[in-house]
Amino acid sequence: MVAYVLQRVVQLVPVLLVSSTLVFFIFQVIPGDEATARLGMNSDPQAAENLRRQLGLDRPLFVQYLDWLGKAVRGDLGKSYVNEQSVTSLVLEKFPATLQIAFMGVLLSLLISVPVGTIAALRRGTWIDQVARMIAMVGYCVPRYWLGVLLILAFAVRIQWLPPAGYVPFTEDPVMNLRYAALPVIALAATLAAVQMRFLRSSLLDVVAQDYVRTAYAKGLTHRVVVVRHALSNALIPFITVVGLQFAELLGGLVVVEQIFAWPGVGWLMVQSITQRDVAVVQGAVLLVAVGFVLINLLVDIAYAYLDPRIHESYVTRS
Amino acid sequence: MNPNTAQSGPALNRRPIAAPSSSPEAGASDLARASGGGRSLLGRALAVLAFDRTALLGFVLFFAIVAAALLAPVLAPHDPNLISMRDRFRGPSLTYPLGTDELGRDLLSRLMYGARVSMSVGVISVGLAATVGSLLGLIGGYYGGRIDTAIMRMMDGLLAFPAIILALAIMTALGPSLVNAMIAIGIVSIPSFARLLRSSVLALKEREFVEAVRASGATGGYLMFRTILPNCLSPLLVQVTVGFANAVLAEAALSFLGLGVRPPTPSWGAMLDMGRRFLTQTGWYSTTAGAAVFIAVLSLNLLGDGLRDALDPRLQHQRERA
Repeated sequence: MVAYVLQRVVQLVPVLLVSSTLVFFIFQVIPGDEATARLGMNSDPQAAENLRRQLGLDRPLFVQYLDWLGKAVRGDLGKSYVNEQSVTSLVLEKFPATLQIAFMGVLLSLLISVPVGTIAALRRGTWIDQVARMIAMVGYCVPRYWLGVLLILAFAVRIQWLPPAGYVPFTEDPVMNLRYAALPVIALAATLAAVQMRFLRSSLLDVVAQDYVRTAYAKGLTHRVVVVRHALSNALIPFITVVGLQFAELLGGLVVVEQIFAWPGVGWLMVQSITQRDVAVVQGAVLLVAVGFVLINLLVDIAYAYLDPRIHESYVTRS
Repeated sequence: MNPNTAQSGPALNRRPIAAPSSSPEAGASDLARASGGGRSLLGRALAVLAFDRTALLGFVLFFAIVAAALLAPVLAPHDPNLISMRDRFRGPSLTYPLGTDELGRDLLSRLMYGARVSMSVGVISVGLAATVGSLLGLIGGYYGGRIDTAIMRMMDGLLAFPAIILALAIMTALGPSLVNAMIAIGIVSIPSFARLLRSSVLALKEREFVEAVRASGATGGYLMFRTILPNCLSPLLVQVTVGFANAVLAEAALSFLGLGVRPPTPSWGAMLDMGRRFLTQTGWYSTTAGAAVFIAVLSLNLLGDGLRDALDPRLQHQRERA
């Protein structure tokens, strides 16, 4: 198991190297550089030249890249043009808000998907199953931004139960924080639960077809006991992987949701910085999100190997 | 939609669908395939529609959107960019079947022209991703070794970003425009095609019929494009359908964030964004624009599900159980 984890961590290095290189060079394509961004397009050429030298932009691109990478590894992603704040601290400041609705969204989705998915599999072919599958298909295809708008329309405009958008830190006013979080969390959970349900249903049906389940039936156990106690525990292993990957994908998926509900998370910061042409912040945020994404994926892989003995056993025998 | 790969809702799905396996039941049809027997891919795909009602529904809906896009100049009741300040925020009526927007423009006409944007982004970006991705996957899978490693590491690098974030970064660099949205979404979708083709090639290149063609003197290019590629078309077709749906979603998301098509060109995502600013005046504006995206995505996924069920031999037994 330790060898497996080590191997996976080592495999991460080239991936992160490629993705950071990508991030650096994508943002080199932008016409104009930091000097023109700071001074404006019609600035004095001499002043721009001086600033360029000062910022190190006159050096060869490759040297700049190594310099940027070296700093990035140490957590220094440069400064925002707009308010001179360090990019790393700006992004980390926004992370808790993003994590809050991501966590709550996943949690709520599980509360829906696990019981409904199990019942759909238990009652395969009945009208309950049909309805559950239809709702799952719809939930899978609904664009989150549309669902968000529909929720605002229903719960904030028509019946004014909840505020349409905004944010208060949980530490300041927990009740208001949750009232603001409710709609974005529902929008997330609905779409997440749809995927989870479809997956849980089909993996349960796969497991139910296996021999050990037949044995359990042969022992005289009821359908319900077999499914809940014997099949579900095995079907949940790949399910956990899916949920983990969904969580990782949320780091990106939240961009639009945060925008709709004016929820000041990392995605909101990114869009904000794009409109202000604050390239350093966008670049830094993209890189940090990518790192987070890769790390969560790694954790999911490790958890999967840990939970499924077949995987780490096979690894041990191979090495 | 494939239970074997993870994806999170209507985000871009960049993980490939199942590749053909070298399972015994698939092997049985090798002879038939190698000798060119059996029906064509198109024939089998069309046959799906005859038997699968949900796939047929998907096809009909998608066909309707494509028709609306193609025939927009003929069918649209109004000029989509005709401003009429007297008619702002009208509800549905005979003159304006879906009402009007904040500048009094006809929403139905704008939705129809918006379909042109969504469909062209789908076609071009998926075309780009499928061509480049398939080529990379074919080459990597066929030659293996260092070439394969280099290609797959590049793909891993692309996959290290949540799809929308990568598209966002590319759009920031290139600037907002329709062509750039196509490029960004295309690039983001490359890895799913590359991985799909690579795993298909790895499974196929060991099979007897490929061996037979090789023994008769065929070399790399012929084997890759004439022998192996035609046998990858079924999963490729499914991935194209799903990729198209994701491209429509991504374009709308980018336009929603103000990074897609420039106004006044109508785009579903941009309409949804404008509409949500006027929710207290009219719910129609945002609702209809989002519904258009939803119907497009739903139709493609229904079609994709049906095609996958019918074309993937490994799923045959699952279908019977489901």
